[in-house]
Amino acid sequence: MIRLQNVCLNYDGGPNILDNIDLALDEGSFHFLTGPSGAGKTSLLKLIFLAHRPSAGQLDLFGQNVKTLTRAQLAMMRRQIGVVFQDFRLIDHLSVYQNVTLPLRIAGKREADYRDNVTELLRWVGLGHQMDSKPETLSGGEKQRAAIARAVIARPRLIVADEPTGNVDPEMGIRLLRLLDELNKMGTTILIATHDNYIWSSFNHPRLHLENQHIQRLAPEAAPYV
Amino acid sequence: MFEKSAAATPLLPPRNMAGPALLAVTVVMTLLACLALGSTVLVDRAAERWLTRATSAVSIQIVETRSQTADEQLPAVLRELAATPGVGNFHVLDKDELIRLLEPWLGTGNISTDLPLPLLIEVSPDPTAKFAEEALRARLTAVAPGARLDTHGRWREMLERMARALRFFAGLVLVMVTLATGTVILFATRAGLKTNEDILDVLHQIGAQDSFISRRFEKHFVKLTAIASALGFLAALAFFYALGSLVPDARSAAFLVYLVCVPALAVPFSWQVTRYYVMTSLKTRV
Repeated sequence: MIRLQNVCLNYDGGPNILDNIDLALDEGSFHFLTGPSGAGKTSLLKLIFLAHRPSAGQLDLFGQNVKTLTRAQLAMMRRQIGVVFQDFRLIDHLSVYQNVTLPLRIAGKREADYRDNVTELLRWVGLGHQMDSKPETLSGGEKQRAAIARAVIARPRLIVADEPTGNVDPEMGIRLLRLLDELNKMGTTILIATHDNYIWSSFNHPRLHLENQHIQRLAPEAAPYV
Repeated sequence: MFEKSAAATPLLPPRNMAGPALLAVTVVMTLLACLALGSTVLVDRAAERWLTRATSAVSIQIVETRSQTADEQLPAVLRELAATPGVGNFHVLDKDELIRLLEPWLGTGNISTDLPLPLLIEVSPDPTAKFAEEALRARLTAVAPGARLDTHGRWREMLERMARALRFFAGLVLVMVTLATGTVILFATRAGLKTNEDILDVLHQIGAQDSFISRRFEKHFVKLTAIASALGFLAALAFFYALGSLVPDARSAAFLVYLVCVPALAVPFSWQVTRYYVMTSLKTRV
């Protein structure tokens, strides 16, 4: 599913942010990505959700070397990846409902076919009463939930989340992670970068610890909420 | 329950795109293009009419020579005209007709009866046969040394030169207006891309194809150009309608068809400029 071989990443020929990273994640797996600030977690995620291309090395996604893909193929591949950004990246002039339905709209789906599903999902994440609200009127936690809803609505094969529970209270954080856990049980591969011990220690999933350009695989810890 | 459906709201907020300023510039550009094109068409038609008249009006002037009066040379000239292929009708102007021709320059009643006037023959070439100017000129000189054939060549040349110059000038104006409009649209598109960068990032990240993003810009600029060029066209139409009292051609249906070409071409032009720039710019992204 995801395979990085000797991958390096730098910006405009500067020093390597990621240096000779090797990583392989199976389809249907669920991993937390942890590590100190500045270790390169966000950069690694950006590589995986195709916001950047490796400066060196090989990145395979869904069995394809991304370097060989055309722009049109890259766009199609991005549709299979749901991304939760650290800064939400909701579009300000669109309502919550319109933000969440963006991936479906881009994929050319008819609104009549997805309206009920979106409504249900928004109710589930606690935004049922704010579907017409603009992001600027939402709290940080509400924005986070809208961003997660947008990432999962098109049932992507891979979900990549960067600190998805950073702005919500622990109870909502667990609730959102349970949504991702449910999707994982249906076959979606999940990779979540977090520094929140409470979150990763609450779920029975392995952890990838990135530090000093090295990724260490750590076994799942106790999971009181699962 | 929903304020607006998902598809009803444009993905790029109108406030982030060029609006009234670009609209005003495009209105002016369309008006200029219509004026340039319209003037060329009108001048072309007028020149064509003048040329036709000039070509169809050949005249022969007979002046007195040392050995023969004009009247003495007249019969020989008329015989030559009758025998020349391509000559249709001819008519010798009488004294009154000659005076009427001169009155605009010398004033009514200012021409004395003893003013020596040449003989003038109006010749209408036969439109179905070729009229050999040079051959007739040579024969006339042989039989009547005081006869001068005037085919208005200088006038024709001048008219043709003027029509060519006006066509070139109008063409130049059209090219300049097109370039200026293209540049303005290009800058507006660039500004739109810059202002909407965050939105484009999101759209890209969730799998939007370049063509999908480009269509958002195309839609905006095509709509804007359509409105602006329609307004510019209407302004030009009003101008030419007013001009119609002086130049009746300006109110003809055929003329209108020429003018419609400007907005009809402005829209696909704007579409292609926008598409080209957006697609090229997006290719520089990851």
